[in-house]
Amino acid sequence: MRSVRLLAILASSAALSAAGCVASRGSAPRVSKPVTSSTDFSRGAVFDKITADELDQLTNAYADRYRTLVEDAVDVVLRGNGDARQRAVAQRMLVASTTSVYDIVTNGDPFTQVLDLTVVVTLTSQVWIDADRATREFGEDRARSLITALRRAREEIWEIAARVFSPDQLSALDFLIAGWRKDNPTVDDVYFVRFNDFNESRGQSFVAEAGAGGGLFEPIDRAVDQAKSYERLIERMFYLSKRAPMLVGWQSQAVMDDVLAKPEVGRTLGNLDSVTKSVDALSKTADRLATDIPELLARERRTLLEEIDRRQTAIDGTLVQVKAVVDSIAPITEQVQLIAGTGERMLDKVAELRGPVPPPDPDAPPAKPFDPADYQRLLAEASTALREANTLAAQGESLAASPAVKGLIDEVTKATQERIDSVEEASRRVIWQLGAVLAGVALLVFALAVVYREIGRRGMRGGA
Amino acid sequence: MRCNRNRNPHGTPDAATFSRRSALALLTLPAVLPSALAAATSLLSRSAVAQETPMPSGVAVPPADVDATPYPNYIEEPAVRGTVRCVGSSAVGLLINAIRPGFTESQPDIAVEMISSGSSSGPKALADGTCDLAPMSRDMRASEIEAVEKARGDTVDAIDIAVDAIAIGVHVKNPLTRITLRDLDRVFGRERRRGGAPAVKWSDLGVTDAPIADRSITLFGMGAGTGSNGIVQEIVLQGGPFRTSVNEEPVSSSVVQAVATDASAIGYCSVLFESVRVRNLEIESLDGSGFVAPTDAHIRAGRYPLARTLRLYYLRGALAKSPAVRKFLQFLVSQDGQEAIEDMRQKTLTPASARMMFDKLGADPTK
Repeated sequence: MRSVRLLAILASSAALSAAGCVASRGSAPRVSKPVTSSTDFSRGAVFDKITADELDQLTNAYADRYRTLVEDAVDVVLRGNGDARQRAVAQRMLVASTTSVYDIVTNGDPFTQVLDLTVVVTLTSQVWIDADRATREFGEDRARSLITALRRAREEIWEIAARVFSPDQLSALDFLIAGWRKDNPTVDDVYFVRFNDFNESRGQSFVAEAGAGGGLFEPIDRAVDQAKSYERLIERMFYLSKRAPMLVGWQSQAVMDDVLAKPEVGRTLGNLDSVTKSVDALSKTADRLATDIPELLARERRTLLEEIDRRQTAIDGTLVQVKAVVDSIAPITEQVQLIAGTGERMLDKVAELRGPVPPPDPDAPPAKPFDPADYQRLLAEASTALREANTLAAQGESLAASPAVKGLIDEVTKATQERIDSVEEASRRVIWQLGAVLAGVALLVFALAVVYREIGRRGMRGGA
Repeated sequence: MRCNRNRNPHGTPDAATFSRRSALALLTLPAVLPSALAAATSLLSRSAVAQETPMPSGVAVPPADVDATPYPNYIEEPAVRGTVRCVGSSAVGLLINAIRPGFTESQPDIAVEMISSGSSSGPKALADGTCDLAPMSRDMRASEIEAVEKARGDTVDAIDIAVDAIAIGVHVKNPLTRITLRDLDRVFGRERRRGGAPAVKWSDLGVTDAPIADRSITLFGMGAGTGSNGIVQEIVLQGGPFRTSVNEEPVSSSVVQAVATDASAIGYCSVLFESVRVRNLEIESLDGSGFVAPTDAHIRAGRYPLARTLRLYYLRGALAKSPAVRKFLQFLVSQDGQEAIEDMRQKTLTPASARMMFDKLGADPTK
């Protein structure tokens, strides 16, 4: 039972440390709890204080509104639009921007949500409006609706941000976003840029000040916030699951539009149009389509997967490190399991020995005299267990002291470090407890042996 | 697309202005001549366009000379120990935070703390003695200086660390390319202290192209209390109030985008924010000698009229007693500090200005 418990502790520690790594990588700064209000940047009106939960609701509602705005605008672009490329670009924009916004609001921390939403919505509007991509892609008439939608979405998110940040902090955030844009003027796919991607010293000091009460925020109770964030995360699961089918639908539409926008498909469709008068040609073209399209789809999929693989590389690096750390915990786990097993065997043996001493049976044959071999065997087992415990302690220490492991631990995250420390601490505790138990067992065995011998002697005397 | 000079009521200077400008023009002729010739050549080459879109009156100010003076070098020795507490503008705070790592590398025993709570909080903290430096994106008001000096019995002084400027932008489809300060006052000012009738439609500014000419001018600007607002109010409106029809935007990039999405809009905000759909106007120089574009060279050289310096205010007596604060200020205006500011895409001081600031700190500030 003990080994099972130990294993459970170790497994959950490893899982938590891995989760900690993912969380620390994926989430931005956290602030929570009473999110104080701000003055309206334009009219000086004073909002009531809002809680983190209310802010959370604001961002959720905003995400749905953003989707509606962009969806309507993209509808206008697509309506009666025969240009396959324009359709593909518009569909991609719709899918990427809305997925990004929903991705942000599924973060459990409303403060991070507001920061990331402000960054993404502002950068998206800058790409499509200020860099004039909308007009270049769709022409002036079709672009108008998208420009209006993105402009409005941007206004709304800054209004929400104005309830979180002071006007001066808004200005600083604006400078940070502009700085990123100036550093990355050619990046058009800004949907998955997050506040954490900004220069660390610039961005983190801004967040630290805002979160520590330097601005409108009160100092945060992080423990409470952490608990609330898990609760919100569960709500997010339901929130996203309701919207996932729609996003998946758009995604498949976007893939289809992408395929149709390929020149070869365009040519094929052109051929099809021109040979419709000939049944034979139509049939052949149809045949070709039947073979081409799956191939194209397969190619598209391959390209997509390759792209995902490429982007995954960075993440993989981290995961490999996490895995290495988790793997390095495995020998400890085995050792602890072994010790625990030995300990259990020892305890069973003690239980055997400690069992109630039966009253002397007058008909029974003379009791077996004290056999030092039993005592020696027990001591040998105890000694083995202690040796293993020492080895384990030494391994634990050498593991912790190893520069390689230290480097790994440092590289992964502080969270992992804490988990490993706790595992190491737990194993030490187990070893010490086992040591104490074994010492107790040795004493007990010795005492029992003496008692046993005394009983045996008396029995022999009685017999005589 | 036409902007008719003759029909612009403010395009032709009056006699007094004309004679003053003539004298100035004669004095600046050697400097202006090469660029004027270049401009003339350029105009001739675009004769067809020039005939259709004559620009408002005035001479474009030539680009700035290259300043070959090096920035002062920061001298690490001696290493000192202490804390530098800064309270004030977030925008300047960003610069301080960006500079801090480089500084603490050279002075590991000096801790720099920055609390970004707005320019207005700086003077209060300075008066309370809760900060050593008050970073501000606007000038400290006389009343604030007086309050600080009264509270601390010390003299307030300031050091410039960077430059920012306010650009006046219009939609790229708008044919207007330059504007006088008086016209800007007619557009944005409620009292129009520079004189003239209110400019409500683009035709009031001499724009004749349909359909923009007959459209009302949509105004965008920053909120009250911001540095941008302060500059426009002080320099353009001469302290007068803004029109109530100015749409206040929360941040500079929002102003730029508002103008980018409205062909009949005009707005002002920090020059650091750009859009390909917005054109920044040349502004009449303060001495009326010509129009100045908000280029890096003009802004840093102080020729562009709507420029502001980002400053750190301190108390002279207190500075003399705190080598840590002085070391930090020296670093800010040194080569290393100015490079860090440039990395933040902010406009740095000219080397000459930086040296002046450095020397100011080098001397005993109490003398």
